[in-house]
Amino acid sequence: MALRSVMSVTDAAAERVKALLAQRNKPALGVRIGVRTAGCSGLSYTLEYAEQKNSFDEVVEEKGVTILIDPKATMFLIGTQMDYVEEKLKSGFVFKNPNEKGRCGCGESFHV
Amino acid sequence: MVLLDIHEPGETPVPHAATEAAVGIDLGTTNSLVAYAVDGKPEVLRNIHGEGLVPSVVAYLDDGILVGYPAKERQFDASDRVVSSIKRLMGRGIEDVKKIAGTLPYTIEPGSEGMVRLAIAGRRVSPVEVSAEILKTLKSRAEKRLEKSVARAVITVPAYFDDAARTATKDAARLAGLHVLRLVNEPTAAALAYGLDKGVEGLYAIYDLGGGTFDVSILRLEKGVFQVLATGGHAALGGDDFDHLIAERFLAERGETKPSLTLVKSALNAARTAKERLSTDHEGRWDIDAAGRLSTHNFDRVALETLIEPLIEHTIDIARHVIEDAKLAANEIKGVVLVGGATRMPIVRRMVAGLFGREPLSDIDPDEVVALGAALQAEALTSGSNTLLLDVTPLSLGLETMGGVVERVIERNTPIPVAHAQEFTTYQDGQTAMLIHVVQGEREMVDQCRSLARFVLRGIPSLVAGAARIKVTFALDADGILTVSAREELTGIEQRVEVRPSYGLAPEDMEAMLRSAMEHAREDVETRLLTESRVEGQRGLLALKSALRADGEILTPIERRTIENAMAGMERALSSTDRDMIEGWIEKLDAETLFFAERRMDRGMKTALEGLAIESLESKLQAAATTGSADAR
Amino acid sequence: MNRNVVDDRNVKALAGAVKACWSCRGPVDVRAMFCATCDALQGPTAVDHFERLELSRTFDIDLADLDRSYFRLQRLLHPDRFAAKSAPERAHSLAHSTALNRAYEILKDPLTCAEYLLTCLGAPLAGEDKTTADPVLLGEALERREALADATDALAVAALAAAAERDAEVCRATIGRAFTGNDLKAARAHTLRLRYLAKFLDDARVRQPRGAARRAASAHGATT
Repeated sequence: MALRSVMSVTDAAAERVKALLAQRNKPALGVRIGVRTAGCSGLSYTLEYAEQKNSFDEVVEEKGVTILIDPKATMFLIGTQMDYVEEKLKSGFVFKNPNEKGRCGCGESFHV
Repeated sequence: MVLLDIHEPGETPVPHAATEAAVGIDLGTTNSLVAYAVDGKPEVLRNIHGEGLVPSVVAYLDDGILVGYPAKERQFDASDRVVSSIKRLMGRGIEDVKKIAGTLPYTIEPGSEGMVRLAIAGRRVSPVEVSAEILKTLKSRAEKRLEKSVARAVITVPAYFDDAARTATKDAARLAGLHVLRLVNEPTAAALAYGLDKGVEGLYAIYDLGGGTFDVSILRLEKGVFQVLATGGHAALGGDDFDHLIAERFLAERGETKPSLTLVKSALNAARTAKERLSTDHEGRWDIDAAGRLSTHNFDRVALETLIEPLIEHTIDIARHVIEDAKLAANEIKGVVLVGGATRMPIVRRMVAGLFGREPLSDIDPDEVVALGAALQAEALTSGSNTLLLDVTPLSLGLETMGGVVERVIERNTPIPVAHAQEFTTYQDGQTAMLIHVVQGEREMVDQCRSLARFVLRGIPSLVAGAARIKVTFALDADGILTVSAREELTGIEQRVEVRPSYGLAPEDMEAMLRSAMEHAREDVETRLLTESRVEGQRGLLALKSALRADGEILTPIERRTIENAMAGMERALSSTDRDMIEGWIEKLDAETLFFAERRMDRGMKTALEGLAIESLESKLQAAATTGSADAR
Repeated sequence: MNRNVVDDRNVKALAGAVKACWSCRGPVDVRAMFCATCDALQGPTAVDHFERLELSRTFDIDLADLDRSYFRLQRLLHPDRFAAKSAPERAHSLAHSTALNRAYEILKDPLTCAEYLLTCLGAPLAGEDKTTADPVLLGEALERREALADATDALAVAALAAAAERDAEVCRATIGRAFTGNDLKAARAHTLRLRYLAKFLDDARVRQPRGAARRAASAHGATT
């Protein structure tokens, strides 16, 4: 069954994930994206190394990296694109999310 | 836009716990800057044009308030609405300002309680409010650049700023919605930037000649310790004064006796340009086109230096005095660092080199070094660091005694924080009240020092003259801000009065200003209260976890479950933004773990008692063995 | 019942040996700076300045030891370390840091250190109005003052100051020996003399135009 991927990954994000996985001391299957209730707009993403797939995880394999999506996060991530951004003072991953209706002032949490 | 990192499983930090940015701000007389440090690397935050400096200029126009370059551009076509050099008025009373009133290009009026107000385009604004506008601009620049909310800052002040000026600076930050993590002295901040970036060690002097203030500090830099040994300066001496001297000369050349405000501003502008250009050029011509007439002025470096040499000589004198205070000789100092735009002038470099017998350092841009140091300290205060900064108070503090003589309680160059107490007594039989007059300064007589506060201590028991014992305690915190308390000790009747030094800004005024700035301030206050509740909730939770690890075995499984349920409730509350809920759980957690705390204390006491029993037995045996040994006490 | 060793006195001492940590509310040693269980900073205890800086109670303090101890403790306790912590910890840190600064200031200067040590040992110097008890000391002090009053130029003042500084050096060594030999009477007498010398040096400094001492000091050898 060919389902369209829940989300997509940019080249920059894929390269960065690969580099980070290579640097890590312990072997990892990929990274897991979750959401939790925290921050000033109520929800925020978590991005962590994943050692194994949990039974309900959504799996996205693209550009040589494995992204596991926590079932709770799926609804927030449908249609998003994971990108990696490098700026002068900071760098990191970002999800471009068409479902999002608002972010808090600092952008660290969001609501839908 | 939030940028995420990949974390180890379960270790993703909670947003806002530590990721909101704390910045360093140099709030200068002429220019201000904001900087931010990551991993010990500070950087000045610039606008899209790459400009780091924000001119400390505010324009009050009908359609809004402008700050920085846009405000500076309006100083000719709207000269009566543009305020500059406001720092010179911070914490000043109307009496202090009379001396310099003529040199300031705006109208000053007395406000309530001797406080200074500026009359600008029909409104009356205080120096605190003007400074707050500059701080708001810096805050929003930082937020734009960092894409984070910025609610906390380290703000630098001249080392020689007195208590009133420091308090005024803190108030301005509050109005701008910034929580001041620490006020850091400008030369100390500069030393921090040099010490950490260039790795200098040993005895260093910092010579800081800014737009309106002069400071000199001697520091010992050693293995991450920045110890200020002595500091001194002049609260109203800087590049502005050079501009005034040059402008006066230009105006005299034009034959002006009663120049208009616009003309004065034009002359000052020409003077400033001339001063800056003559740091590199040897001579030049400057035009003043104002009040319907163009005049041209030839001016060269020799003339400039002749004009300002007495002022520089004065700074060298002060520096000499500070070296003596540090109990050092000039040749023991390993290096001297130049800070402030005015140190670009060749005459300053020459005279400083002459005093110390060595070429001064200016590897780090003298306009930016203070803000960079402040940013480093902001990072250290929020993310932790191994650097230790030990500063001193620049001015002695004392009380008025009989005959207007000052009795010093804290000497200048004492390390802060500090608390000293002094005892005083009554001079009349039956005296039941005493006026306590707090002054700051080095002179022997009260009227030559800065008056900080007066308050009356009442309820002294009626006794013969000299019998009452009134203990007055002066405490300076790490920001150099003073609290004075007094109490009568002898009879056990205690009277305690806490004063915040007043520089004329009544608490009601502050309230009103805060309320008028409420639009965004309410948000800031809410955020701050939420942060405080979270810190407290988290502290309680962590303390309880430690206690469970240490003494968990004294609980029955049921008791343990009760506590764990309460902890889970607290965790949930902490991940929300509901302050009432967090506060509720703080109380609940407290109540539900009280029995556990009591049981732990009981057990701790028993253990200590057993230990003591053995110790006491041993000490008795020992005492028996060494009977007769001399005890000095 | 084997309770005989735990008498009243012990219970009293015990009340001062363990207290409840303000943060985790468990037992904590009253002398501890941090709670062993939850790591929260406790308030400072009433100890003397020597103990505060973890130094032995002696007049002959090695200044390098003093600095090391002071810096190490300030690194742990300074308000800068607690800027982002809870309000009670910030207050405790302020109190600790203030106490450390006070102790450092007193122990750093040999005169205040000697005065303080005498107080600790139960033999404090009297107040300033009673310092003229010793006629020999009084004579010496008067002589110096007259010489200072008669000095006509900066060089003469500098010479007097240099002589007084030499005497102060000798005096400090004498005080050290007196404390070592537990001779409190001698320690008091010489501390009193050091107090006079320190005052004289202050006055001599005021009498000189700023920087004159330095110029005078660096002038011997060079021609002016």
